[in-house]
Parts: sequence; C-alpha cells; structure tokens
Amino acid sequence: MKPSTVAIVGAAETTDLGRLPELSQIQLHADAALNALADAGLRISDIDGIATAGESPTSVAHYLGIVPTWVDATQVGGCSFMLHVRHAAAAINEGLCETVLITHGESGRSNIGRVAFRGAGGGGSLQGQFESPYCSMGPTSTFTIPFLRYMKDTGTTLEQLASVAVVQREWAGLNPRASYRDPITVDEVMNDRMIAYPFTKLECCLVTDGGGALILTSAERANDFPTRPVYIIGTGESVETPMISQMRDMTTSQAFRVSARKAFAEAGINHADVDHVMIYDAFAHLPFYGLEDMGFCGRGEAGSFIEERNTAPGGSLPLNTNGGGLSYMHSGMYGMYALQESVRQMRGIAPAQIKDASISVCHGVGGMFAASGTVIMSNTPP
Amino acid sequence: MADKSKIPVPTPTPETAHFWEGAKVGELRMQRCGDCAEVYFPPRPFCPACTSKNVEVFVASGRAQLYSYVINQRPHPAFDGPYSIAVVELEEGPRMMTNIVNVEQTPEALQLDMALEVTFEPLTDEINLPYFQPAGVQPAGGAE
Repeated sequence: MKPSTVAIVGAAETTDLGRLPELSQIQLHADAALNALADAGLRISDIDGIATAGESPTSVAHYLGIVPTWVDATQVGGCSFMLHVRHAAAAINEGLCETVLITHGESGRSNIGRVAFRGAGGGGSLQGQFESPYCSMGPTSTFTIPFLRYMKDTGTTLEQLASVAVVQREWAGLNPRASYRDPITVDEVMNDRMIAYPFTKLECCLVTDGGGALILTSAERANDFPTRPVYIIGTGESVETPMISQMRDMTTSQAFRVSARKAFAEAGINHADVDHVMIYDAFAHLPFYGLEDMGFCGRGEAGSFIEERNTAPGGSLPLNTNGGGLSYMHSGMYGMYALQESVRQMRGIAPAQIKDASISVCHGVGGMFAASGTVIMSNTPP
Repeated sequence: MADKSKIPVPTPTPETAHFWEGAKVGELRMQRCGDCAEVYFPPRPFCPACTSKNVEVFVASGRAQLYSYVINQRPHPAFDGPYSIAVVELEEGPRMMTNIVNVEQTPEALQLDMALEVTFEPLTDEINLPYFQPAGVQPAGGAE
C-alpha cells in the first residue's frame, strides 16, 4: 500500500471484556461495531465496506444493516484483522469503497452462539491424516512444540520464557481492563501447573469473551472525525503451512519474516524509529519469534532482551503494553485487541501510555505459525 | 486404561494411499523427485520444491532424530498419563509429527536429537500408525 493514504478514524472494544454469557457472539461483533461508530461519530449508513473473521461478513452486514460495496472474509486465524486492515487500505485507495468497518467478536469462554470452529478438517485432510492421530489437544500442545528446538538452538532458558509472562503482567497492572493484574514472579510462573512441558499455565493465553472494531477511511477525510487520526504507514501479510510439523524451521517463522519485511519496506522506517510494539502472544514464546523475525533482536537474543527488561515499563522498546494475550484478554482471535492497543497508543489515550510515541508496529500470528499480518501505524499527518 | 478408539483415524486419499499401504506392511514410504532429488512429505504427486511430476515412492530407512516436542499433561482418553507430541526429522530429510513411544515420557528421557526408529501400531483393520521409539528398543510383544 501507499503509506499514510488511509487512516483509522474509529476504534473500540466491546463495552466489557472477560466472561460475558449475556452476549452471543454476533452481538459481541455488534457491540464493538456500535462503539466504534460512536467513537467515529458515524452512522451505520456511512459504512460501505465490511471485513470480518470468525463470523461471515454476510452475517455481520445483515445483523448491523450494512449494504456493502466491498466485502472481505479473509480468515487465516487470529491475525485475520491485520490482513483486513491491509486489504481495506488497498480497497479504499482503489475506490472500491470509502469507509470500512472491521469487526471481531468471540464468545471464546462462554461459547454463546459461537460459529463452529473450522479446525484441522476431517480425517482425509493432510492434518487429519498426519497430525491429528497423535492426539494434540489444540493450541496448548501444538503451538508450543517448536519451542524446545528454539531453546536448544539459541541457548534460550526457561527462566527467560517465564520472564515474558512476568513483564507482561507488569503492563497489565497498569491497565484497569486487564483480566489479571497482580504481579507474578519468574519462580511462580515456572512452578505453575504444567500444561504441556515446558509450558506452564501462566505461559498460556487466557480464554475470554469480547470483541473489537475498527473504522478506516482515506487519510484526506481523517481530520473530519472527532479523534486523533491514526495513519496506516506500512502493512504486510503471508502464510506458511497449516501443519506445524511442516514449518521450514521451528526456530523462526517464515510468515513472520515475510510479513514484517514487507511492512517495514512500505513504511520506509528503521527499527530505531519504532516507539511501541505489539506481538500477538498466544503463548510466551511468541514474542521471541516476533522480535527476532521482525529484526528487533538478533537470532537468539530475544530471551535476554526481555529478561533484561527492555520491553518492560520504562524499557527502550515497550511491548504488549495492554498486558497481552497472557494477561489482558484472549478471546481466540486476539489480533483485534493488539490493533486496538496500537491505536490507543497512537491516539495518546492508552492506560499505560508511552510518552510521545509516534510509530507503533502491530504484528499478528494466525493459526499456529500458519499465517502472519503486520500493520505499522503513525500519528504523524502525511 | 488407554482407549485407542479415541485416536482420530486417518482417511487415506488417492494421493496418500501409498503411504498407508506401506504402513500396513511396516514400511515408511516417502517420495523423491526424479528431477531435483528432493525427498518430501506429506505425499503429493508432484515435487513441492520444483513442481516436477517425475516423482517416485521409496521405502525410507525409518531412522530419525528427535527435532522438537511437548509433553502434554492434560488427560487424553487414548493415553495413560502425560504423553509426548513430537516432530522427528527423518534421516532422509522430511519431518513428521508423531508420539515417541516405548520410553518414559519425561524431559530427561526425551533428549533433542536422540536417535529414533519407526515402529507401527495397528489402529483399525485398515490403518497402521507410524510411531517413533528410541533406536534399538525392543518393544514388549516383539516385532510387528
């Protein structure tokens, strides 16, 4: 995309996050969408583009009363919303629509009105034949498989893995909306209940209910809205493999590298220009892969980088400042909440606001190292 | 007691039938490209490295190394207690998901890069599943 030609002019999460059995999944979409419309001062009739994942865009458009001229149902897992931002920017620039609504809603904990999850497929899919028979029980015992190889090849330690959860809990302590806010120690994390060796419960994401929505339009119109515009300056996306056993190298994500490289090239920035980073943390090892594959750290350096508090409050590279999927919330497709925190930081309204931050990198994973999307935002007008 | 009927059963497709037919007779069948020599898995009738359709099926050695794994602690009806979910690297190159069997399911017993060999267990009348065990282990009950 062309940098700074499209802006986020509306952004909101659901009114509540956490355990919300009083709301169905489609209503979580609607609650977030209506909050984002109010945030932008728009009416539903102003929306002419719709993108969503988890639900079909048909369902969301009909439920909200949207008549779209542009539709995107890209569904590559939890980073789908990063891809929606990228596709929406291209669509707006191409004149396919003017004002795009991207919604997420997921009754991940309460399971109210949830659309059936499209998992590995039946016994005849390649995953069904060559992975499912080995009885992994979802992400906790699958997404975690690469880490022992990463540890051995890079010299990373279990203490460093635990420090990811500790540091993010510090950020969560600054955020009144975070699910878990009490400080934790490396020892507590390492001695917590083992879920899938070497990962303990505190190194696995939460499972909660919630939603979020974004509204995008051309940068030329961005000053007509009540909030500070947040410009999209670079984006990237890629996919690698639906089978984690078939990753080219379990110590680095090809999709992360391809997506981030594209986003940084589009934005025309260096890593030193970045004030704030979000890396989708379904599990505690994801920030290691994100920091290294995006080029913020050299190979094998991310563990000590986090352990030495560079990403903690007061550190040189604030990371996952909402508390992340480990402590803030995680409905299942967390990418939307990472985007929301980047927008808050760029607007200057985050609970743990980074002073004078002007560039935020928001990096997502989809599936289990299957896909990736990167969105780089700035609050500097073009 | 572990209930093997709770293991998801693979359904062979036309492109993977040779693999499951091999497993049935105790062979780990891989594919090799006749043009670029790439050895690959999972099965498909063309080479994923160069798209050539000049590919052949061959019987792999069954030797492998432990590439990475977790030990799942959550109860699963097909297992008596915690069990490994692993990825192994075959001597010929490709990697496969598996469970490491006939060994204690502990970090001490499961060392990365340890030598492994394939072993087959009947799952249904039609399907034998390939598993991996430490090289040289004689499983209880003898050979397949």
